[in-house]
Amino acid sequence: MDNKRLEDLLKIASKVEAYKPLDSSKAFNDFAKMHRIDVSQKSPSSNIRSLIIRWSAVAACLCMLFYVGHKMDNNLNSFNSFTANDNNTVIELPDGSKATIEKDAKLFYPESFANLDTRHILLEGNGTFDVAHMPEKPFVVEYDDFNVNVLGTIFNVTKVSDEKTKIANIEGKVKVVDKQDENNYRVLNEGEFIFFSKKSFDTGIEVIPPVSLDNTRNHSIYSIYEHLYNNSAGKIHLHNNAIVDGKAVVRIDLSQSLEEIMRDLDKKTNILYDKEDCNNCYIIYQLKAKG
Amino acid sequence: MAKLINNSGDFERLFKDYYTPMCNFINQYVKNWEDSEEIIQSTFLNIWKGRDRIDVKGGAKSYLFQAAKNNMIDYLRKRKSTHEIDEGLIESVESLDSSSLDPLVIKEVILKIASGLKEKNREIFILNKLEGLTYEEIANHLNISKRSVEDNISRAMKHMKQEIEHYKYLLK
Repeated sequence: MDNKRLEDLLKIASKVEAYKPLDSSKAFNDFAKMHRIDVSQKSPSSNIRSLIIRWSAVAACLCMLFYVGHKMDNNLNSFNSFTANDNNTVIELPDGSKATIEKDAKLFYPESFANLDTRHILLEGNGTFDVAHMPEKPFVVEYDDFNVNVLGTIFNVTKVSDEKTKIANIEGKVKVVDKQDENNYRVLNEGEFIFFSKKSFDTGIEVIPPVSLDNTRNHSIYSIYEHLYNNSAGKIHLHNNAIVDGKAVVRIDLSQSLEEIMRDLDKKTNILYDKEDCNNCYIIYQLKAKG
Repeated sequence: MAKLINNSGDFERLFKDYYTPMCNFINQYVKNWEDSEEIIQSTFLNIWKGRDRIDVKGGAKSYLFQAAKNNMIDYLRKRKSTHEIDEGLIESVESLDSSSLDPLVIKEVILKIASGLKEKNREIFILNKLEGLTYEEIANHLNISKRSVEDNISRAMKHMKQEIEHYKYLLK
Protein backbone atom coordinates (compact mmCIF):
# COMPACT_ATOMS: atom_id res chain seq x y z
CA MET A 1 0.00 0.00 0.00
CA ASP A 2 1.42 3.39 -0.90
CA ASN A 3 1.90 6.24 1.57
CA LYS A 4 -0.86 8.34 0.11
CA ARG A 5 -3.46 5.61 0.47
CA LEU A 6 -2.34 4.99 4.04
CA GLU A 7 -2.53 8.69 4.86
CA ASP A 8 -6.01 8.81 3.33
CA LEU A 9 -7.13 5.90 5.49
CA LEU A 10 -5.70 7.58 8.59
CA LYS A 11 -7.57 10.76 7.74
CA ILE A 12 -10.81 8.82 7.42
CA ALA A 13 -10.15 7.04 10.73
CA SER A 14 -9.37 10.33 12.46
CA LYS A 15 -12.81 11.64 11.57
CA VAL A 16 -14.56 8.81 13.40
CA GLU A 17 -15.37 10.11 16.84
CA ALA A 18 -16.36 8.28 20.01
CA TYR A 19 -15.26 4.92 18.69
CA LYS A 20 -15.36 2.25 21.36
CA PRO A 21 -12.93 -0.64 20.88
CA LEU A 22 -14.46 -3.97 21.90
CA ASP A 23 -12.82 -7.34 22.44
CA SER A 24 -14.19 -9.15 19.39
CA SER A 25 -12.33 -12.37 20.22
CA LYS A 26 -13.96 -12.57 23.63
CA ALA A 27 -17.31 -11.60 22.13
CA PHE A 28 -16.97 -14.38 19.58
CA ASN A 29 -15.95 -16.97 22.17
CA ASP A 30 -18.91 -16.05 24.38
CA PHE A 31 -21.21 -16.08 21.38
CA ALA A 32 -19.94 -19.46 20.15
CA LYS A 33 -20.29 -20.92 23.62
CA MET A 34 -23.79 -19.57 24.12
CA HIS A 35 -25.01 -20.81 20.74
CA ARG A 36 -22.96 -23.99 20.75
CA ILE A 37 -21.13 -23.19 17.57
CA ASP A 38 -18.50 -25.73 16.79
CA VAL A 39 -15.46 -23.67 15.88
CA SER A 40 -13.42 -26.65 14.79
CA GLN A 41 -14.58 -26.73 11.16
CA LYS A 42 -12.13 -24.18 9.90
CA SER A 43 -11.03 -23.24 6.45
CA PRO A 44 -7.53 -24.34 5.50
CA SER A 45 -6.06 -20.90 6.18
CA SER A 46 -7.57 -20.56 9.60
CA ASN A 47 -6.57 -24.11 10.41
CA ILE A 48 -2.97 -23.14 9.98
CA ARG A 49 -3.47 -20.23 12.29
CA SER A 50 -4.93 -22.17 15.12
CA LEU A 51 -3.56 -25.64 14.78
CA ILE A 52 -2.66 -26.64 18.25
CA ILE A 53 0.24 -28.90 19.00
CA ARG A 54 2.40 -29.80 21.98
CA TRP A 55 4.43 -27.82 24.47
CA SER A 56 5.47 -24.31 25.16
CA ALA A 57 4.78 -21.79 27.77
CA VAL A 58 4.44 -18.26 28.94
CA ALA A 59 4.15 -15.52 26.48
CA ALA A 60 4.69 -11.99 25.92
CA CYS A 61 6.96 -9.58 24.30
CA LEU A 62 5.44 -6.64 22.60
CA CYS A 63 7.40 -5.71 19.59
CA MET A 64 7.70 -3.06 16.99
CA LEU A 65 8.11 -3.67 13.36
CA PHE A 66 10.77 -1.06 12.91
CA TYR A 67 12.92 -3.19 15.17
CA VAL A 68 13.19 -5.63 12.32
CA GLY A 69 14.53 -3.05 9.94
CA HIS A 70 17.99 -3.13 11.39
CA LYS A 71 17.74 -6.54 12.97
CA MET A 72 17.06 -8.55 9.88
CA ASP A 73 19.48 -9.28 7.13
CA ASN A 74 20.20 -6.17 5.13
CA ASN A 75 19.70 -8.11 1.92
CA LEU A 76 16.16 -8.80 2.84
CA ASN A 77 13.87 -7.02 0.48
CA SER A 78 10.55 -8.31 1.68
CA PHE A 79 9.52 -10.25 4.69
CA ASN A 80 6.41 -11.42 6.43
CA SER A 81 5.44 -10.67 9.96
CA PHE A 82 3.00 -12.77 11.88
CA THR A 83 1.49 -12.24 15.31
CA ALA A 84 -0.13 -15.25 16.96
CA ASN A 85 -3.67 -14.72 18.17
CA ASP A 86 -3.77 -18.12 19.85
CA ASN A 87 -1.34 -20.33 21.66
CA ASN A 88 0.53 -22.92 19.62
CA THR A 89 -0.01 -21.25 16.29
CA VAL A 90 1.89 -23.08 13.58
CA ILE A 91 3.56 -21.16 10.78
CA GLU A 92 5.19 -22.92 7.90
CA LEU A 93 8.29 -21.07 6.78
CA PRO A 94 9.37 -20.87 3.12
CA ASP A 95 11.93 -23.70 3.57
CA GLY A 96 9.33 -26.05 5.08
CA SER A 97 10.49 -25.47 8.67
CA LYS A 98 7.67 -25.13 11.16
CA ALA A 99 7.46 -22.50 13.86
CA THR A 100 4.98 -23.02 16.67
CA ILE A 101 4.55 -19.75 18.49
CA GLU A 102 2.62 -18.73 21.55
CA LYS A 103 -0.14 -16.16 21.82
CA ASP A 104 1.12 -12.62 21.17
CA ALA A 105 4.49 -13.87 19.96
CA LYS A 106 5.69 -12.31 16.73
CA LEU A 107 7.70 -13.90 14.01
CA PHE A 108 9.44 -12.07 11.20
CA TYR A 109 10.72 -14.04 8.27
CA PRO A 110 11.58 -13.44 4.64
CA GLU A 111 9.13 -14.36 1.92
CA SER A 112 11.84 -16.51 0.45
CA PHE A 113 15.20 -17.82 1.59
CA ALA A 114 16.27 -18.44 -1.99
CA ASN A 115 18.79 -15.61 -2.38
CA LEU A 116 20.02 -15.57 1.19
CA ASP A 117 23.04 -17.30 2.70
CA THR A 118 21.27 -18.01 5.94
CA ARG A 119 17.70 -18.65 6.94
CA HIS A 120 17.58 -15.74 9.38
CA ILE A 121 14.33 -15.04 11.21
CA LEU A 122 13.37 -12.95 14.23
CA LEU A 123 11.25 -14.06 17.16
CA GLU A 124 9.59 -11.94 19.82
CA GLY A 125 7.92 -14.09 22.46
CA ASN A 126 7.96 -17.85 22.85
CA GLY A 127 8.27 -20.42 20.14
CA THR A 128 9.28 -23.92 19.15
CA PHE A 129 11.02 -24.62 15.85
CA ASP A 130 11.11 -27.77 13.81
CA VAL A 131 13.81 -26.90 11.34
CA ALA A 132 14.13 -28.36 7.83
CA HIS A 133 17.53 -29.94 7.31
CA MET A 134 19.59 -27.74 4.98
CA PRO A 135 23.21 -27.90 6.11
CA GLU A 136 24.35 -25.52 3.38
CA LYS A 137 22.02 -22.82 4.68
CA PRO A 138 22.16 -22.34 8.45
CA PHE A 139 18.96 -21.50 10.23
CA VAL A 140 19.31 -18.63 12.70
CA VAL A 141 16.66 -17.50 15.14
CA GLU A 142 17.41 -14.07 16.50
CA TYR A 143 16.08 -13.29 19.95
CA ASP A 144 16.60 -10.50 22.52
CA ASP A 145 20.28 -10.87 23.29
CA PHE A 146 21.26 -14.05 21.55
CA ASN A 147 21.05 -15.95 18.30
CA VAL A 148 20.32 -19.64 18.00
CA ASN A 149 22.19 -21.17 15.05
CA VAL A 150 20.81 -24.45 13.79
CA LEU A 151 21.63 -27.07 11.20
CA GLY A 152 18.54 -29.22 11.50
CA THR A 153 16.72 -29.70 14.76
CA ILE A 154 13.74 -29.11 16.99
CA PHE A 155 14.20 -26.58 19.72
CA ASN A 156 12.18 -24.30 21.90
CA VAL A 157 12.69 -20.76 23.18
CA THR A 158 10.74 -19.68 26.25
CA LYS A 159 10.93 -16.41 28.07
CA VAL A 160 10.94 -17.38 31.73
CA SER A 161 11.03 -13.81 33.02
CA ASP A 162 12.01 -10.39 31.70
CA GLU A 163 15.63 -11.24 32.25
CA LYS A 164 15.78 -14.96 31.77
CA THR A 165 15.14 -17.07 28.69
CA LYS A 166 15.26 -20.83 28.40
CA ILE A 167 16.50 -22.45 25.22
CA ALA A 168 15.72 -26.17 25.14
CA ASN A 169 17.11 -28.34 22.38
CA ILE A 170 14.83 -31.28 21.73
CA GLU A 171 16.50 -32.87 18.74
CA GLY A 172 19.74 -32.33 16.80
CA LYS A 173 22.24 -29.68 17.78
CA VAL A 174 22.10 -25.91 18.24
CA LYS A 175 24.61 -23.24 19.05
CA VAL A 176 23.45 -20.34 21.23
CA VAL A 177 25.55 -17.24 20.67
CA ASP A 178 25.63 -14.13 22.81
CA LYS A 179 24.97 -11.24 20.43
CA GLN A 180 27.27 -8.92 22.37
CA ASP A 181 30.16 -11.35 22.39
CA GLU A 182 30.32 -13.97 19.65
CA ASN A 183 32.97 -15.89 21.59
CA ASN A 184 30.48 -16.45 24.34
CA TYR A 185 28.41 -19.37 23.12
CA ARG A 186 27.26 -22.84 24.10
CA VAL A 187 26.49 -25.82 21.91
CA LEU A 188 23.44 -27.78 23.03
CA ASN A 189 23.08 -31.46 22.29
CA GLU A 190 19.80 -33.34 22.29
CA GLY A 191 17.84 -32.93 25.49
CA GLU A 192 20.01 -30.14 26.84
CA PHE A 193 18.79 -26.73 27.72
CA ILE A 194 20.23 -23.49 29.01
CA PHE A 195 19.07 -20.36 30.67
CA PHE A 196 20.30 -17.15 29.19
CA SER A 197 20.07 -14.34 31.67
CA LYS A 198 20.94 -10.72 31.19
CA LYS A 199 21.97 -10.49 34.80
CA SER A 200 24.40 -13.35 34.56
CA PHE A 201 25.67 -12.04 31.28
CA ASP A 202 29.29 -12.05 32.33
CA THR A 203 29.22 -15.49 33.79
CA GLY A 204 28.08 -17.10 30.58
CA ILE A 205 25.55 -19.85 30.14
CA GLU A 206 24.93 -22.85 32.30
CA VAL A 207 24.39 -26.12 30.48
CA ILE A 208 22.14 -28.52 32.34
CA PRO A 209 22.07 -32.11 31.15
CA PRO A 210 18.69 -33.80 30.87
CA VAL A 211 17.44 -35.86 33.76
CA SER A 212 15.77 -39.17 33.12
CA LEU A 213 13.91 -40.83 35.94
CA ASP A 214 12.88 -44.40 36.48
CA ASN A 215 9.18 -44.75 37.27
CA THR A 216 9.67 -47.66 39.63
CA ARG A 217 11.87 -45.86 42.16
CA ASN A 218 11.48 -43.07 44.63
CA HIS A 219 13.08 -39.83 43.56
CA SER A 220 13.93 -36.62 45.25
CA ILE A 221 11.33 -33.95 44.80
CA TYR A 222 13.85 -31.76 43.08
CA SER A 223 14.78 -34.50 40.58
CA ILE A 224 11.12 -34.85 39.77
CA TYR A 225 10.85 -31.14 39.22
CA GLU A 226 13.93 -31.20 36.98
CA HIS A 227 12.51 -34.12 35.04
CA LEU A 228 9.24 -32.30 34.51
CA TYR A 229 11.04 -29.14 33.57
CA ASN A 230 13.13 -30.91 30.97
CA ASN A 231 10.25 -32.78 29.48
CA SER A 232 7.49 -30.22 29.55
CA ALA A 233 9.24 -27.75 27.26
CA GLY A 234 8.64 -24.75 29.42
CA LYS A 235 5.28 -25.59 30.96
CA ILE A 236 6.70 -25.79 34.47
CA HIS A 237 8.50 -22.98 36.24
CA LEU A 238 9.81 -22.43 39.71
CA HIS A 239 8.96 -19.05 41.13
CA ASN A 240 12.05 -16.97 41.90
CA ASN A 241 11.44 -17.29 45.64
CA ALA A 242 10.17 -20.86 45.53
CA ILE A 243 10.92 -23.17 48.44
CA VAL A 244 12.02 -26.63 47.31
CA ASP A 245 12.95 -29.44 49.63
CA GLY A 246 15.75 -31.15 47.72
CA LYS A 247 16.13 -34.13 50.06
CA ALA A 248 12.60 -35.44 50.41
CA VAL A 249 11.75 -38.38 48.18
CA VAL A 250 8.46 -39.46 46.68
CA ARG A 251 7.25 -41.92 44.04
CA ILE A 252 5.36 -40.43 41.14
CA ASP A 253 4.30 -42.19 37.96
CA LEU A 254 6.03 -40.00 35.42
CA SER A 255 4.38 -41.68 32.46
CA GLN A 256 1.19 -39.76 33.25
CA SER A 257 0.22 -36.50 31.64
CA LEU A 258 1.56 -33.32 33.17
CA GLU A 259 -1.85 -32.51 34.62
CA GLU A 260 -2.06 -35.94 36.27
CA ILE A 261 1.48 -35.64 37.62
CA MET A 262 0.64 -32.27 39.14
CA ARG A 263 -2.46 -33.77 40.76
CA ASP A 264 -0.35 -36.66 42.06
CA LEU A 265 2.22 -34.26 43.45
CA ASP A 266 -0.62 -32.37 45.06
CA LYS A 267 -1.67 -35.55 46.89
CA LYS A 268 1.77 -36.77 47.84
CA THR A 269 3.70 -33.59 48.57
CA ASN A 270 3.16 -30.21 50.05
CA ILE A 271 3.10 -28.38 46.75
CA LEU A 272 1.83 -24.90 46.04
CA TYR A 273 1.38 -23.93 42.45
CA ASP A 274 -0.61 -21.62 40.27
CA LYS A 275 -1.91 -22.17 36.78
CA GLU A 276 -4.30 -19.30 36.31
CA ASP A 277 -1.79 -16.46 36.01
CA CYS A 278 0.62 -18.41 33.92
CA ASN A 279 -1.01 -18.76 30.53
CA ASN A 280 -1.43 -22.51 30.51
CA CYS A 281 1.73 -23.31 32.42
CA TYR A 282 2.47 -24.02 36.07
CA ILE A 283 4.39 -21.77 38.44
CA ILE A 284 5.54 -23.63 41.51
CA TYR A 285 5.86 -21.61 44.69
CA GLN A 286 6.62 -24.45 47.07
CA LEU A 287 7.59 -28.10 46.67
CA LYS A 288 8.14 -29.83 49.98
CA ALA A 289 7.56 -33.18 51.62
CA LYS A 290 4.29 -33.64 53.49
CA GLY A 291 4.22 -33.10 57.22
CA MET B 1 -23.33 -15.68 -6.25
CA ALA B 2 -21.17 -17.14 -3.52
CA LYS B 3 -21.82 -18.59 -0.10
CA LEU B 4 -21.38 -16.02 2.65
CA ILE B 5 -19.82 -18.62 4.90
CA ASN B 6 -18.71 -22.14 4.18
CA ASN B 7 -17.73 -23.24 7.65
CA SER B 8 -17.35 -22.02 11.21
CA GLY B 9 -13.88 -20.69 10.41
CA ASP B 10 -15.36 -18.27 7.86
CA PHE B 11 -18.01 -17.30 10.36
CA GLU B 12 -15.44 -16.65 13.09
CA ARG B 13 -13.43 -14.44 10.79
CA LEU B 14 -16.49 -12.50 9.68
CA PHE B 15 -17.55 -12.02 13.28
CA LYS B 16 -14.15 -10.87 14.48
CA ASP B 17 -13.65 -8.52 11.53
CA TYR B 18 -16.99 -6.76 11.75
CA TYR B 19 -18.32 -7.14 15.30
CA THR B 20 -16.72 -4.00 16.76
CA PRO B 21 -17.26 -1.61 13.83
CA MET B 22 -20.85 -2.79 13.45
CA CYS B 23 -21.61 -2.35 17.15
CA ASN B 24 -20.17 1.16 16.93
CA PHE B 25 -22.25 1.84 13.85
CA ILE B 26 -25.49 0.69 15.49
CA ASN B 27 -24.73 2.61 18.66
CA GLN B 28 -24.55 5.86 16.70
CA TYR B 29 -28.33 5.56 16.30
CA VAL B 30 -29.45 3.35 19.16
CA LYS B 31 -27.35 5.13 21.81
CA ASN B 32 -27.24 2.10 24.05
CA TRP B 33 -24.25 -0.23 24.02
CA GLU B 34 -25.99 -3.24 25.46
CA ASP B 35 -28.77 -3.03 22.90
CA SER B 36 -26.31 -2.34 20.08
CA GLU B 37 -24.34 -5.48 20.88
CA GLU B 38 -27.57 -7.43 21.14
CA ILE B 39 -28.66 -6.26 17.70
CA ILE B 40 -25.35 -7.30 16.17
CA GLN B 41 -25.31 -10.63 17.97
CA SER B 42 -28.81 -11.32 16.77
CA THR B 43 -27.68 -10.44 13.23
CA PHE B 44 -24.79 -12.88 13.45
CA LEU B 45 -27.02 -15.55 14.96
CA ASN B 46 -29.41 -15.27 12.01
CA ILE B 47 -26.48 -15.55 9.64
CA TRP B 48 -25.20 -18.63 11.43
CA LYS B 49 -28.63 -20.26 11.43
CA GLY B 50 -29.14 -19.50 7.75
CA ARG B 51 -25.60 -20.25 6.66
CA ASP B 52 -26.61 -23.03 4.30
CA ARG B 53 -28.93 -20.83 2.29
CA ILE B 54 -27.26 -17.41 2.37
CA ASP B 55 -25.63 -16.56 -0.92
CA VAL B 56 -24.22 -13.11 -1.48
CA LYS B 57 -23.64 -11.09 -4.57
CA GLY B 58 -22.35 -7.78 -3.29
CA GLY B 59 -19.83 -9.03 -0.77
CA ALA B 60 -19.95 -9.90 2.92
CA LYS B 61 -19.88 -6.32 4.14
CA SER B 62 -22.97 -5.28 2.17
CA TYR B 63 -24.90 -8.31 3.35
CA LEU B 64 -23.93 -7.83 6.96
CA PHE B 65 -24.71 -4.16 6.82
CA GLN B 66 -28.16 -4.71 5.34
CA ALA B 67 -28.98 -7.44 7.85
CA ALA B 68 -27.83 -5.31 10.80
CA LYS B 69 -29.67 -2.26 9.46
CA ASN B 70 -32.92 -4.22 9.18
CA ASN B 71 -32.54 -5.47 12.74
CA MET B 72 -31.86 -1.94 13.94
CA ILE B 73 -34.95 -0.60 12.17
CA ASP B 74 -37.09 -3.33 13.80
CA TYR B 75 -35.60 -2.40 17.15
CA LEU B 76 -36.25 1.31 16.66
CA ARG B 77 -39.83 0.68 15.54
CA LYS B 78 -40.53 -1.43 18.62
CA ARG B 79 -39.13 1.27 20.84
CA LYS B 80 -41.03 3.98 19.05
CA SER B 81 -44.22 3.24 20.99
CA THR B 82 -42.59 3.43 24.40
CA HIS B 83 -39.70 5.81 23.83
CA GLU B 84 -39.30 9.15 22.18
CA ILE B 85 -38.00 7.96 18.87
CA ASP B 86 -38.44 10.25 15.97
CA GLU B 87 -39.77 8.77 12.73
CA GLY B 88 -37.13 10.94 11.06
CA LEU B 89 -34.42 8.85 12.73
CA ILE B 90 -35.87 5.66 11.27
CA GLU B 91 -36.10 7.26 7.86
CA SER B 92 -32.53 8.41 7.98
CA VAL B 93 -31.40 4.90 9.00
CA GLU B 94 -33.38 3.46 6.09
CA SER B 95 -31.50 5.67 3.67
CA LEU B 96 -28.04 4.52 4.79
CA ASP B 97 -25.95 2.30 2.57
CA SER B 98 -23.06 0.00 3.39
CA SER B 99 -20.47 2.70 2.72
CA SER B 100 -21.53 4.18 6.09
CA LEU B 101 -19.68 1.31 7.68
CA ASP B 102 -16.37 1.97 5.87
CA PRO B 103 -14.89 4.63 8.19
CA LEU B 104 -15.61 2.41 11.19
CA VAL B 105 -13.99 -0.61 9.58
CA ILE B 106 -10.96 1.51 8.72
CA LYS B 107 -10.76 2.82 12.28
CA GLU B 108 -10.95 -0.71 13.63
CA VAL B 109 -8.15 -1.88 11.35
CA ILE B 110 -5.94 1.08 12.28
CA LEU B 111 -6.51 0.54 16.00
CA LYS B 112 -5.89 -3.19 15.69
CA ILE B 113 -2.57 -2.57 13.98
CA ALA B 114 -1.65 0.18 16.42
CA SER B 115 -2.23 -2.23 19.29
CA GLY B 116 0.91 -4.02 18.11
CA LEU B 117 3.02 -0.94 18.81
CA LYS B 118 4.79 -0.28 22.08
CA GLU B 119 2.70 1.79 24.46
CA LYS B 120 4.59 5.06 24.05
CA ASN B 121 4.87 4.65 20.31
CA ARG B 122 1.15 3.90 20.07
CA GLU B 123 0.24 6.93 22.17
CA ILE B 124 2.32 9.25 19.99
CA PHE B 125 0.95 7.72 16.81
CA ILE B 126 -2.67 8.05 17.95
CA LEU B 127 -2.20 11.61 19.19
CA ASN B 128 -0.78 12.63 15.84
CA LYS B 129 -2.61 10.56 13.27
CA LEU B 130 -6.00 10.05 14.88
CA GLU B 131 -6.35 13.01 17.19
CA GLY B 132 -4.63 15.53 14.97
CA LEU B 133 -2.05 16.95 17.40
CA THR B 134 1.06 18.43 15.81
CA TYR B 135 4.55 17.12 16.58
CA GLU B 136 5.19 20.18 18.69
CA GLU B 137 1.99 19.78 20.68
CA ILE B 138 2.79 16.13 21.34
CA ALA B 139 6.35 16.99 22.38
CA ASN B 140 5.03 19.55 24.87
CA HIS B 141 2.28 17.27 26.08
CA LEU B 142 4.62 14.33 26.71
CA ASN B 143 7.65 16.38 27.65
CA ILE B 144 9.85 14.87 24.96
CA SER B 145 11.76 16.35 22.05
CA LYS B 146 10.14 17.04 18.70
CA ARG B 147 12.76 14.82 17.11
CA SER B 148 11.68 11.94 19.33
CA VAL B 149 8.07 12.45 18.20
CA GLU B 150 9.20 12.37 14.57
CA ASP B 151 11.16 9.16 15.12
CA ASN B 152 8.19 7.54 16.82
CA ILE B 153 5.82 8.49 14.03
CA SER B 154 8.25 7.21 11.44
CA ARG B 155 8.54 3.84 13.21
CA ALA B 156 4.80 3.59 13.71
CA MET B 157 4.12 4.36 10.06
CA LYS B 158 6.57 1.70 8.97
CA HIS B 159 4.78 -0.81 11.18
CA MET B 160 1.41 0.38 9.92
CA LYS B 161 2.45 0.05 6.30
CA GLN B 162 3.64 -3.51 6.78
CA GLU B 163 0.73 -4.74 8.84
CA ILE B 164 -2.02 -3.13 6.82
CA GLU B 165 -1.23 -5.56 4.01
CA HIS B 166 -2.92 -8.26 6.12
CA TYR B 167 -6.16 -6.28 6.19
CA LYS B 168 -6.35 -5.26 2.54
CA TYR B 169 -9.38 -7.47 2.01
CA LEU B 170 -11.31 -5.28 4.47
CA LEU B 171 -10.25 -2.00 2.92
CA LYS B 172 -11.26 -2.48 -0.69
